[in-house]
Amino acid sequence: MKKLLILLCLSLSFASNSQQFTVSGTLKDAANGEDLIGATVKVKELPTVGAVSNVYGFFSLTLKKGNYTLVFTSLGYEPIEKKIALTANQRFDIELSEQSTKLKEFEVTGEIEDANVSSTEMSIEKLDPKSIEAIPVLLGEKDIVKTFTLMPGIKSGGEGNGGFFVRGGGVDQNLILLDEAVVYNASHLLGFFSVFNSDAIKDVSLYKGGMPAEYGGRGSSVMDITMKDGNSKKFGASGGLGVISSRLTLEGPIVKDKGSFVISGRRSYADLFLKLSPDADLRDSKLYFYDLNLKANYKINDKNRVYLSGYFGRDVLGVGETFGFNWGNATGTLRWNHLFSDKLFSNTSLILSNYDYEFRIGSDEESFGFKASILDYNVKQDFSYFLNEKNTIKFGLNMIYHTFDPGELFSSISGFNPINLNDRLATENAVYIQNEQKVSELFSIQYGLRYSFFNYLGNNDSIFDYNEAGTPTGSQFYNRHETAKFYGGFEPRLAAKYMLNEVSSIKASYNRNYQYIHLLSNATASSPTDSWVPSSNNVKPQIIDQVALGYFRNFKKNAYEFSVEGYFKNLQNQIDYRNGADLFLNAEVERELTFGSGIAYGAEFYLKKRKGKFTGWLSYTYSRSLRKFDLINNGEYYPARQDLIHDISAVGIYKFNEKWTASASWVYTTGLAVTYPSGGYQIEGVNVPYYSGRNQSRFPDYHRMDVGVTWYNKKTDKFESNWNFSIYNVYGRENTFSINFIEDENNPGQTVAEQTALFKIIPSVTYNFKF
Amino acid sequence: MKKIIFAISILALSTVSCRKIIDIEQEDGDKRTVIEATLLEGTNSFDVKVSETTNFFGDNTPVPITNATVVLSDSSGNYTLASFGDGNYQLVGFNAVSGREYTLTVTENGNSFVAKGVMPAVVPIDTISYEFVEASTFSDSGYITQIEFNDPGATENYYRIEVDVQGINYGDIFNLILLNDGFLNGNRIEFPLFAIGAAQAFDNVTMKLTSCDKATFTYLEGVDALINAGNGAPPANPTGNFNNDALGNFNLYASDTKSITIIP
Repeated sequence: MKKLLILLCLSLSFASNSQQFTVSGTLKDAANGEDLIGATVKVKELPTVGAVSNVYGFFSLTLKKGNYTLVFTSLGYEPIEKKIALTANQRFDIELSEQSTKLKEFEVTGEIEDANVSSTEMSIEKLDPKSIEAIPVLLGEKDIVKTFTLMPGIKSGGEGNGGFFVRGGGVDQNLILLDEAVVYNASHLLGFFSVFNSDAIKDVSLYKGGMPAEYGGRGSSVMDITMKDGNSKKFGASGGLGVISSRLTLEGPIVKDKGSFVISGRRSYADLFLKLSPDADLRDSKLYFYDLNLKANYKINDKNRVYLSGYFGRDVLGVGETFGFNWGNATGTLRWNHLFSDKLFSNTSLILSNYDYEFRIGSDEESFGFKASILDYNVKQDFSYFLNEKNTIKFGLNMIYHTFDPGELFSSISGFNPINLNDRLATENAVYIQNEQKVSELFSIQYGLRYSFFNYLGNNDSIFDYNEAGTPTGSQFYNRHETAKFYGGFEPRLAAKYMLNEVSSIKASYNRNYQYIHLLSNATASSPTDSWVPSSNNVKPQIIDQVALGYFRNFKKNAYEFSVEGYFKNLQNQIDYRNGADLFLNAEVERELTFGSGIAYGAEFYLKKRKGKFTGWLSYTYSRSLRKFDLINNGEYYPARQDLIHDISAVGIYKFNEKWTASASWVYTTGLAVTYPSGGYQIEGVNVPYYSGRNQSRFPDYHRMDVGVTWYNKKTDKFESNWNFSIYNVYGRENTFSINFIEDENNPGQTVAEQTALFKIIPSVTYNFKF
Repeated sequence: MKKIIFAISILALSTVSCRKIIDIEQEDGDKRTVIEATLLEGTNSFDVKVSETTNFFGDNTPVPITNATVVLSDSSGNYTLASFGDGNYQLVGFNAVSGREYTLTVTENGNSFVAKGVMPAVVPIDTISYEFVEASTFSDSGYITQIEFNDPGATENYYRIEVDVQGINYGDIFNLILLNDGFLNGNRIEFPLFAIGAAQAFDNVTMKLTSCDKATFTYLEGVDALINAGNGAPPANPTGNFNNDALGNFNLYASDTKSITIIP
């Protein structure tokens, strides 16, 4: 009996496994050795079968035993075919060369041609830096975040404001990852530039919805940025000299074809222009930022590869010796890719992320200063199991230890007691599992479950409870690292695609996200001094549910892409401030908060032309984002500041010839929601406004046009250079930065509104080079 | 703090930024009753102004409420204020005592608004000192004055400081100088008045140290935020101590005044 059972089991397993083998390996760029992300492996004999390379260039495809012609391809590269006899697992490390005819057609995306229709992913925007090269942005800088705001559903924080809004969510609801490390403040100079130097970046994906289970922690989006690995074949340098900033990138092999490094730096020098100012204060001022990206990687053997990446950036503002203000991020990631088998890919990451700001007023004898920070230690383990050509399973875990330093006030003024608010500690963790399954030729589904949990920890001090009115109702002492409050929840993730025919599909998705840390911004604009706070006994985690439905269609052999996507979001446990809340150095900042809910919904229309001399896109979004708080606006729904009802972006790029490319873009959005007075009265003889509702008015509409032209003056095997001329805000529209109330010059005693706009027409010139 | 940060940034950008007057439509909102009342410690006249909110832009002539009944009460009785018929009400020669609770009731058109507070004790100014400084980013060359007093350790104290230098006033609504003893409780407080700039030799300097209660201090902070909002907090009405949504506040002030002349 036993012998029979064993034989039965053996034969069953033999029968199910024996006929399948796995083809796996890596896909790289032949010129510089960079891993190709999203490259495909197809089988000529099986047109519906294929695999896509992951973010490390790794692919795995399991097929029945047989003879096949494999086609390795990526957009913009010459495909390579290999005939194989698949009788055992095989490894292929392929290098693809760029198409020599690539320059005839300017491609706008870097993925397989009909990905927008055929992949299960929806609500995602991708960029490879080549596609943003020709788009004119502020002062000639190629800015990734600014380019995303030209896409549907993603809106900039407004003139002079950092951050961006995705589908009606707040600026803290975007998870920004640079090589898996969280970047807490992605803006320089009050939002004019992002901290991302596009020379150092290989790939960016922004999920607006349909978020896969491997991501979590923020309610509205994930911006996943992958740094370049560096040229593993030869040394190279590239960079640019521009009006406001300059950049330099050095890259090269550590060991040829086995390891490489890249160092990328950027520095602005706006303060050089201030030295020309007639104002003495401005002449003595400092106003600059810098970014430094570093990465090195080494392939130990076919199964093991390690990476080390880091980012350091800082913004510095100062007036003479008496005032200084600086802020910045520092991140570091150590990663180990390991292949347990041809089907099981693993990545282990150790990550560090720090954001801090500091300001100082006064000279040495009598000054005072303030600083605050947030520091994360993070361990991540991710597995991809390429079960078979119909199923790809991903699972893993993520653990973060947060330290929030809410602030330290130090002073040399006598009689002033220094204040050091106690650090707040927390752990944020998640486990997830997900499968992407090809149910049939027409129908694919990605389903997953993430369980996230959060511990708010004590720090050898008393933690207070507050009631709805912000009054303390009790307190309890907690030791350091003792759990004061626990939250946890399941986050189901679902995305499905159904091909209506070869050129069109419909997609639907649902995801739930828990957000355990929150950015408090006591302003109608975001500021580098906004503080991150953890969920606690008084602050619940935000819970955001989103459903989305879309129709995708390509025309003329993928020359045109069209899509329309609708979404609805329900937001729970949203945070806002009581009237007159003061967040500055407030140990009891939670007393100033009030809680409510919100909804956001919209429809995004998108048409893109991807091939030909003229390429570009047109997008229109209609959306609403509303909030409901008992203590605000009489408990009725009111527009969130980012309720930008209409949003239009038009981008056009025209390639005249090898030497000249021109581009133009036009954006329009409804003005930010704002609160204006409902009346006035006097206090001690001074006219003051009286407010009743919240956000019932609008800033004037925002619109502007930018144009640019690039002259590729030199291109040889050894050296390339180009000149870029661009004009920001060509017709000089004065878009509102702020509104202040001042006395009417013509009618003293009466009040009028004065608008401050930041930029009129700004031309700029940048020289770019590459060895 | 945020004001300074934004001020610096705007300063830096002023080379390229531009300003213009634009038309703004006032939002819809119910009219509200505004009551301004300040009770001073000691024997003084007690003045109350009752009005209604009016327009903010354009014609903003105040709208007084002339037919209100205004009554001040304490443990010794109720005192009705005389009406001048123009929205101003007054009680002459009233003695307000530290430590006593006072209630102000304003009734008009069937609506009743009540506020109460305890008159704080006077905290006396100990000295006014001054120090010569060279010209700097903060001020011209001259004498930076400093107010010195002993903060009572047993109580939570809230202060408003006003200064008069050669007839020029500082510390009005536009430039409120507010101090609470949170960081400094029980200490001898020496507060240099950088905010008013440098005084010159032989100037007469008069300082007034006003103690108020927490409710009034919160109200004044709200007024400060309202007037000097810049790009700051979401606009909010200062929270006063009247009920029924009346704007304004019933201030209880206990002040001490001291004068010096700057001798170089």
